[in-house]
Amino acid sequence: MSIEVRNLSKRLGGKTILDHVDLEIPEGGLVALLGPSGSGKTTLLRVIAGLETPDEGEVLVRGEASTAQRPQDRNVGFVFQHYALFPHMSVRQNIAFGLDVKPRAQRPSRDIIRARVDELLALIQLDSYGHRLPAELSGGQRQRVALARALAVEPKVLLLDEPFGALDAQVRAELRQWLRRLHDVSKVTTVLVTHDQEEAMEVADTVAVMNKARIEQVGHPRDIYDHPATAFVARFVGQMNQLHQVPGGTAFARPHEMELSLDPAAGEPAQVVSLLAMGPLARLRLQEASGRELEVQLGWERLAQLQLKEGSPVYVRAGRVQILQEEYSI
Amino acid sequence: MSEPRVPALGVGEPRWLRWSLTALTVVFLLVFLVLPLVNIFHAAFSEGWRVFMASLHDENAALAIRLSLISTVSAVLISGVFGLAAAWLLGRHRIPGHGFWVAVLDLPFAISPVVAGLMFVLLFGLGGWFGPWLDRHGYQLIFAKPGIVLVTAFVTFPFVARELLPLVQALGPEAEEAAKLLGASPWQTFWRVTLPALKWGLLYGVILCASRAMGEFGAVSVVSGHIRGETMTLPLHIEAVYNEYQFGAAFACASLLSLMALVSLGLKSFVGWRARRERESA
Repeated sequence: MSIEVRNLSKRLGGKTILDHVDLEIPEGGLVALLGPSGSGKTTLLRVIAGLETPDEGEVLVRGEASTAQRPQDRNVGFVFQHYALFPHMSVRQNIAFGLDVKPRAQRPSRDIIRARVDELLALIQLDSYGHRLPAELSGGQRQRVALARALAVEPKVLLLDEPFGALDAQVRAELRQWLRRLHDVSKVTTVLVTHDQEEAMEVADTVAVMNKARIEQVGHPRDIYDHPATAFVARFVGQMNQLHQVPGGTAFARPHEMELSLDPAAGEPAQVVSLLAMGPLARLRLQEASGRELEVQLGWERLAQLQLKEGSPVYVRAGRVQILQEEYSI
Repeated sequence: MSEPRVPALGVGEPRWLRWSLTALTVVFLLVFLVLPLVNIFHAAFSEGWRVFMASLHDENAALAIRLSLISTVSAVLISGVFGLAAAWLLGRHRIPGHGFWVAVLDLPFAISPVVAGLMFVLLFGLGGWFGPWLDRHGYQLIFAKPGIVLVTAFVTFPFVARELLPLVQALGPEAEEAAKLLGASPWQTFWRVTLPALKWGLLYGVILCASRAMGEFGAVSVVSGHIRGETMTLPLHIEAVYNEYQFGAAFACASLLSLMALVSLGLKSFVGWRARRERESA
């Protein structure tokens, strides 16, 4: 189900939370809303869900305005950061909730509901946990139950609000891949809110970077990394070296775009401050004479050629420089 | 209901201090709390089992017990429903003057029950604001049963609301939002998600409310008019027979009231324990 967000604005207590936001989410896509906290990404998700009403603008689902619909009529699946499971209900009852509350005419029979719950329990790999209470599950298991509960009603759209934010790193990485596979199979249009750029880049096929109530850039993760549209995106997504100010902006280069040499003519003088060589890539931190620090990534072979150690002098230049405009705010 | 956990006794205190403090506390509790209570039951049976039973079967006593039960049940229903509504409103929504309304919840606790009774006489009595209008339409609140129910509900109102307000705030809106997005109507959300999460807190508040309602004296005394067999609740009846020097009867009824208090105390502890357990597992 394609979603179109048009000219959406929302203010709360004199503060602008969404500022004329436009976004198109293609049918079957997996879009990540990426941004620091307070950038408006969760509010945008909640407006799409119908949990918040915008002051201006509209949300179109397959070309139809959904802004006037009540949340319970929108058929969206929503997953909260802190799971929001119903604590007094078993895992099965939680998953079946969306089917149980349907009006009698639309409610599937008990047998069909039971079969559907079994199917979802298998999908989230918690087959034998159906009778447990949420309090008896780990965080990762609870979030899987929350996903199954959202999927039970076969939503047109799946909205995830920092779904892995409360989990530890390893579980987070596992669930991320699981979500990606799930999406590849189910093809439900999905919007994921996250402040973790690695998560956004790994899972989504489109990333929308938000900052200060606006969307700064929308694109494929690779394009956002290689061609950031603004200085904010350049700094927020991936590691970036800030080189120098030029008229009209700042010059940036990625660590892997830095070139090192022992030839004084090949760049600015610098000193290796720290060096971490693990696997095929080495990560170096250099300090220039001006005191500015630079991050550099080198191939293992090039490192061996240069024979660098901590404290070695070296000459550095940027292979590719991008000039990006700073935003000016008073 | 969140009773603080008592740390392990006396880390590093000298033994004599520990023992004398313990002894002091035990003696105090015995003399001031346990002894008077036991004595009520002792006095109730001092004139024999037959006088005890006769005092409870006395027509006026039976009617007083009945009225006490009716007003307790009504007060519990009123403050249960409105307390839940108030807690939900104040815990879930930012209404103008939020802090003021939270403070107003406590008003019945702050005001002396006698004054509370007088307030209702001034409002609904024959010389009051609404009294004449009510009288013209054939209703009498003051010096009648409805007035007793009304002041009892007023005095006990904060118990449920106060108990539920922090629970509603702690529950947060997310579970309700999740239910709504799964297609549940507001009614289904309330019965299936909100109320089950609050049920032990609600029950706890209801028990506190009921035990206070049964024993309420001051406010009821003002609006009752003391009409025998008509507007006498059990506490009023006890005072009346006591003033007539029928000590056996007074203590018999008092022991009944004490017994009800003990039962509600037991229930309160049980429900409080269940509520704590539920909260800890959530």
